[in-house]
Amino acid sequence: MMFDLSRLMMNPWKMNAGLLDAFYPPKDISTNGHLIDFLFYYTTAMNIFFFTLVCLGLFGFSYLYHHKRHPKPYYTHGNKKKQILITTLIGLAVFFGIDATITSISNQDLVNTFWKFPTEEEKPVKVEVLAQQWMWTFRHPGEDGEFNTADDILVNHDLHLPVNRKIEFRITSKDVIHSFYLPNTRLKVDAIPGRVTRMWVELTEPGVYDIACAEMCGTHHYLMKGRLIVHSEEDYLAWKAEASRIAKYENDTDNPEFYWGWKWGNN
Amino acid sequence: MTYVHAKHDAPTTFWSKYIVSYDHKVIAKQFLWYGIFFLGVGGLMALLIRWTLAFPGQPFPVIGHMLFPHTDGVVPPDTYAMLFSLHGTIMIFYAITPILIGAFGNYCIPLMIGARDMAFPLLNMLSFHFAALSGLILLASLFLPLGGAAAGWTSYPTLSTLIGSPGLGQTFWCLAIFVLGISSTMGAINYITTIISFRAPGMGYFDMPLTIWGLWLTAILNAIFIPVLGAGVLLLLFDRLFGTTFFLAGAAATSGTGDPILFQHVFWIFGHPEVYILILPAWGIVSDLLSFFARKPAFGYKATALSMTAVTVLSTLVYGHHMFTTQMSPLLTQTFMTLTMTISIPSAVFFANWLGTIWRGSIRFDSPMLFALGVVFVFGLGGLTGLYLGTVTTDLYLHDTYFVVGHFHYTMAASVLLGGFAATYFWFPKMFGRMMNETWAKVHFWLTMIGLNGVFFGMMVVGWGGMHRRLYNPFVYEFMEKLIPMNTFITWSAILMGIGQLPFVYNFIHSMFYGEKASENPWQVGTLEWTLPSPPIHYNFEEIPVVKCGPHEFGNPNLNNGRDFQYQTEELVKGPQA
Amino acid sequence: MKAQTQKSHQIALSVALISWGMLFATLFLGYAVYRFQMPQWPTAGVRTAPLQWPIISTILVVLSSVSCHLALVHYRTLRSAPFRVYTWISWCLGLAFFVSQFLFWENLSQVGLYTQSGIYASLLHGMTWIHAAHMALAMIGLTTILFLAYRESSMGSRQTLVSHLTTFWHFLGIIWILMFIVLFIL
Repeated sequence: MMFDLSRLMMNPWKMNAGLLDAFYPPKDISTNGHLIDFLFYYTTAMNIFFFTLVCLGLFGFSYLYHHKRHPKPYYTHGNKKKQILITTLIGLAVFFGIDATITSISNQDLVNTFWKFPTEEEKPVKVEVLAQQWMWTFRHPGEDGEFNTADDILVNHDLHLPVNRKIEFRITSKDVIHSFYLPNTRLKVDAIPGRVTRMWVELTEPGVYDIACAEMCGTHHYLMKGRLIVHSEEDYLAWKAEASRIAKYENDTDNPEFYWGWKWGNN
Repeated sequence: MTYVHAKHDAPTTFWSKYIVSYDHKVIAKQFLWYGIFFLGVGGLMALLIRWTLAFPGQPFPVIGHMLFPHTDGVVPPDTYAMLFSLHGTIMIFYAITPILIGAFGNYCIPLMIGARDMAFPLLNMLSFHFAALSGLILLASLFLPLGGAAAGWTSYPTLSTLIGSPGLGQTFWCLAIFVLGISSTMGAINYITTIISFRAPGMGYFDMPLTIWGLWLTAILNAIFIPVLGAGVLLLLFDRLFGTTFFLAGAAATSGTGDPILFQHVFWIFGHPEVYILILPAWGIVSDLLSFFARKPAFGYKATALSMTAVTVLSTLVYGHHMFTTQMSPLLTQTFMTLTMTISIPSAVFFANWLGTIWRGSIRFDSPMLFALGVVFVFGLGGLTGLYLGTVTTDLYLHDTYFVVGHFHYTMAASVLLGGFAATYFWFPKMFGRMMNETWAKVHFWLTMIGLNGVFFGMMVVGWGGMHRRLYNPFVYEFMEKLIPMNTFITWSAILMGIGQLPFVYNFIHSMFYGEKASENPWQVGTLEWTLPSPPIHYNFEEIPVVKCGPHEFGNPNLNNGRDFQYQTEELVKGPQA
Repeated sequence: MKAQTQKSHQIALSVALISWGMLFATLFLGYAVYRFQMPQWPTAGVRTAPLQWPIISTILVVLSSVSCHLALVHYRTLRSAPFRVYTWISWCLGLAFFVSQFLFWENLSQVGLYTQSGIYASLLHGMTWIHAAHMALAMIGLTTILFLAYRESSMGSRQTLVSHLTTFWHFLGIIWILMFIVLFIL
């Protein structure tokens, strides 16, 4: 059962876009990206509301109180009780209408979702990611299920993943700070030399998507592109089996550089 | 207790008048030329960046072949990295800081508080010359064989260590920033002391113009936090020059590694107050101008001053929101998110007070007022977009995308730039004794407003579209293909904005020599500088004024001398019932 | 007028000390972050710094603060001869401090704690260099005062300069003692 990459080359976006097409984010192929999109739209709605009020004030007052139309200004220092009350209420309205709400929604999303890493029972797909100037390398455990062993599957640029399974990434960098960015899941996390950072996703739609580096990492930062290749579950297993087979004779196990990985652990 | 400088003779030689002057007004102008020069350099860099983003592979028009002979006029990738790094560095440290804080701070503080000069004129002069030295070091870095610093203005290690940045460019950057830090700290000490000790008799803290409040709060933040950057940059310099391992980690560090993330903490402990340092003077200036041109008192003056103070204090507690993607502990992350949100309250208060100031006023739309109203618009928009970035989950997507670039340009560049232009049009008559041309000023205003809204709103759009930062060629990514028309639109807006500055340059230079002569008080405003001739004599005040009322006494119905305002030296006119 | 300007100079000195304090505070923050992130300190395989030169430096710092203070007292009471003596003593102790620092840095290299020897050595070198650089500034100030000590017209008329330099000297002394405790004892 060979996997067929060409089947996965879906390009749902128009090649020749108009100006307004820029207003949409990349297609969301994750189970949790909608939480971020929702919060963005909610904040936008509140911002439009308050900014409209600001503009009504700004443009409205500029029109109504043009010196030709309103020659006598109202002499007040704005420190009467009623005026202070109104200003305070405005401040509190902004805070409770937007700030408090979005903070609480975001906090819930973090605690209940983004920081809730898959447990061992959920049998997540585990991938170790190495960022370096200027490419991505992905390490999958081989048939032994252990990382940093001779049968690991190492792939440069291409990240093969299945749909409908939780995937946990552990990421580090070899040289400078990079950032592992999957636009179609709305997530990114920095790749820091000397540290391991983590991220988890669950994907919903097969296809080929972009991986980018979102932290300035040198001259060819813009070329540090990867391909996120999302397979159906059968195709993923097929890919993994084939890649495992190839790994047996392709892995340069005499080279200590091969063993950049680390034991997964339970941290 | 008020301190007073003695009247002194004017300097006579060219050297003592223009190079080593102790006069705050001359030093202010020195900072102004310096800042405008670097604004031009930084602006040119921005155009080079935008050209590359919209038209990759095309030679830059007119000067491309001269600048990049080896690539037929096309900006190469390593130069591009240097361009965006130095664009940020120059605009923040060499354009905004010298113009808003160095020039207008120096010019306005003594005049508006009724002093003959700053507390320490020698320190003031040294502050300029250190800044000049720093500028020279930075410019020199452009001519190094491997070019200038190219690790972003944020200069994160390990990219900014020898691992990512061999060569002297980054070293020169560290040195230039350290020397500039010395200049800024000297200035901060001077401003703080002057405002505390040299206010004219009768001018309490709540009788100062809000411009002075802004400059005072800025100086306080500068004094406290510039040294933090200084320390960080010094440690980076040691890593680069002496082999220390403060910020080296990973494969490079062989024994007892350092911590690159520590640099980020240190940088942003400085960096977040820094953005407030840049905006506070503009907030103060706008608060005053809205009152001056609406011919009524600033609404809620005390609340505005206290809100600005609250924002100043809170700004020190929120820096972690720049680091959400580095995976700090969950508790730290949540704390920074919550604290960041609290800044909205005082910001909303003084913003509401701005609208309260023009409410029921009698508004004149002279150029300083147009620009001040422009600040209200762009800061309102920009400030609100900060909310997305303060919220952790939306920030995970938007971090390091053009959304951030749009946000900080709206709040930092647009607001401060418009505020700086407002200040320039307003104080030009006092500085140079002539009026600027109002028609060209209005042309400048509209071109700038249309241009900058196109650029920075467009950036937020492509940021939401996922376009990440510091990219030499966005066309490499499929998910960004639909952003191409918007990117081109942004570039055209930037070009419009650049062209829009030409009327300003022309107006500025022409008016300085041929502008209509300015009277003592062309704007009919009551703060102390307008009681003096335009320009003032070299020791400002013949007699130190005694202040009897606030800075925004406009529209008092009890006035009966034909004016609709009172000078701060006049007793407040009360009604017959008082 | 002189008495008037004193308060403004006080304010300026206070602000300056806050600025310098923040610079050193950042260094101490860095130290704390490094130390508490490491499983052991000094880091594995690295020996602790030899203490003899830091101890000598600390003694010199304390003595020089005492002599600076005495010099100031005599300046205020216009006793120029003792003022000169104590200023000279302070100056010599300051110079001796620099000598002890150079010997300290040489000693570090001798025991293998080079600047490139990892984070522990980086902190030892980096923090003491920055402190020494500020001591150099203080020495320039003290040299100026030494010149003034021989000008009769300056006796008693440069209160601010003498007292502020003394304060700065004490400030650097306190920073040294904090560094000594943090880097060498804890």
